Amino acid sequence: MSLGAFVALLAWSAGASAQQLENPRTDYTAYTRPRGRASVGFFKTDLGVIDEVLIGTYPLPWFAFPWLKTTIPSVYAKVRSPWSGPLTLSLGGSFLYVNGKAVAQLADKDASASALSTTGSFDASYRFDQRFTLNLGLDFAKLSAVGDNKDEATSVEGASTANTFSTRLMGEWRLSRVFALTLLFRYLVYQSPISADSTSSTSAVTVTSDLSAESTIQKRFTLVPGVSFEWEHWELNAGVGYGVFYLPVLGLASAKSWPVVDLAFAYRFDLYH
Amino acid sequence: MSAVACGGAADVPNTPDLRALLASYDRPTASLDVSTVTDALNSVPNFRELAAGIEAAKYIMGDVDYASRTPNSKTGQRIRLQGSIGLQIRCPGERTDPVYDESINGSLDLTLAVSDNKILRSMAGHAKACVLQGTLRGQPARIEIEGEVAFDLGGDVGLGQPWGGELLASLPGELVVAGYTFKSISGRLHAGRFQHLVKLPNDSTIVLELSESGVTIRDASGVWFCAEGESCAKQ
Repeated sequence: MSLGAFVALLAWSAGASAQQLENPRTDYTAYTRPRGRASVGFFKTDLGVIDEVLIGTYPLPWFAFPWLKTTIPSVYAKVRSPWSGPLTLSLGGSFLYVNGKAVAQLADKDASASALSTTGSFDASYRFDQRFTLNLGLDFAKLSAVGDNKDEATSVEGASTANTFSTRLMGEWRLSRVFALTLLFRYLVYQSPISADSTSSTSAVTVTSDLSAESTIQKRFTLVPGVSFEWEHWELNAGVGYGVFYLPVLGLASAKSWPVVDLAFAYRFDLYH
Repeated sequence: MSAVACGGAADVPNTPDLRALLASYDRPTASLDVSTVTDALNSVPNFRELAAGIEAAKYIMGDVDYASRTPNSKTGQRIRLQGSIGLQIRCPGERTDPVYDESINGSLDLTLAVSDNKILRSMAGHAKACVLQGTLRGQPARIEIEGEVAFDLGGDVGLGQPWGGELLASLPGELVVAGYTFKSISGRLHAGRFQHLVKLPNDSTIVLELSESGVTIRDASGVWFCAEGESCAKQ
């Protein structure tokens, strides 16, 4: 970046305004949307029911029907503290249900199982000034899969669970009312061994497994620098980094480090006031 | 049937400790001489029947192989599996065409312990009138196992890997072979040969081993060979 451009950027930064207060970023922060404001995107769609309560869903899995022969419903919600001031706290959670048809399409067609993903989060966001915000978050994700009975000569039935705990720290440096730089750091505190119970049967023998699996090479850190654009109606958050990759929606962490892409793009409008 | 497992590592079940029995097979304590070796040989009058019974137990190892392949064994070294695998074996019966009906040919339950992607070498279970087909003097023979069973495979078996052929069987219950009943016996398949640990009246031990040309007797000082119908000679 040339010196002139850098000076221009700093000058632009000085013009950072109330945009951050009006449309704060909701990912990785404790903030919600103002009452009646909706955001529609491929990855997330949500609505500020009241100033302190946000509800939403992950749209893409709803449209998985052509591939999975079923849909994958999901819902998430976030409730933030009602007080004003630099510190905002919030609690969030989500549910996602994958029925047996989808699992059979995604995995073994002989498998018959449903999956339930639940996540929870606690966030604390501190606004130092109109330009800089620091966000601290704790995440919990649980995936449980439950097998169904099948009256076939040979069948594979199973159930599995996995729990993930992670923390994150994100800084946002708003350089203008439109543009901000972000830096996201995540640390995987714990990912439980995946517990998989299965029963496999032939005419001669029934094998019942009660096994757990865990990675021997579990990585823990993720660092994602990014940018954030907040236009009047559009918002774009994008980052590219490296480290543990968290499965979207499900929250499960990869064992290895990978290049990580973080992307959110949505259209924002007021549904009611 | 379905069940939800709790998060966390699965419990690895306890396995029977057969190390002392294995050591007895490796280091017999009796010291035989020409006058006592024949008595030692005759102390197991139905040795070949016993061998046929233990050989028939190899059928069970086929199901252990099946169990070994049941978990996703393509985990490589990046995934560590542990827990237990339960086998409920419906015994095939004595006929050439197996009949997997517990009410007719009984069953055998076996619990395998899995740790670090391996099935641990020793395992325990229970047989309920489990009927198998054996071979005695070239003819099919009825084998029946009843009561507690414990096996040692000679080493841990990696998931997805086949059983190596070593087997120590400890049967505190009954083993019936072609009408002969053995109680609380053990037998070992070692390097392709059947071995049996014999406790002599003076509490010392010898190991009988069956080979194609006869029977060998191993004591603390060496090996005796006993050809069919001839006296035993030290080798």
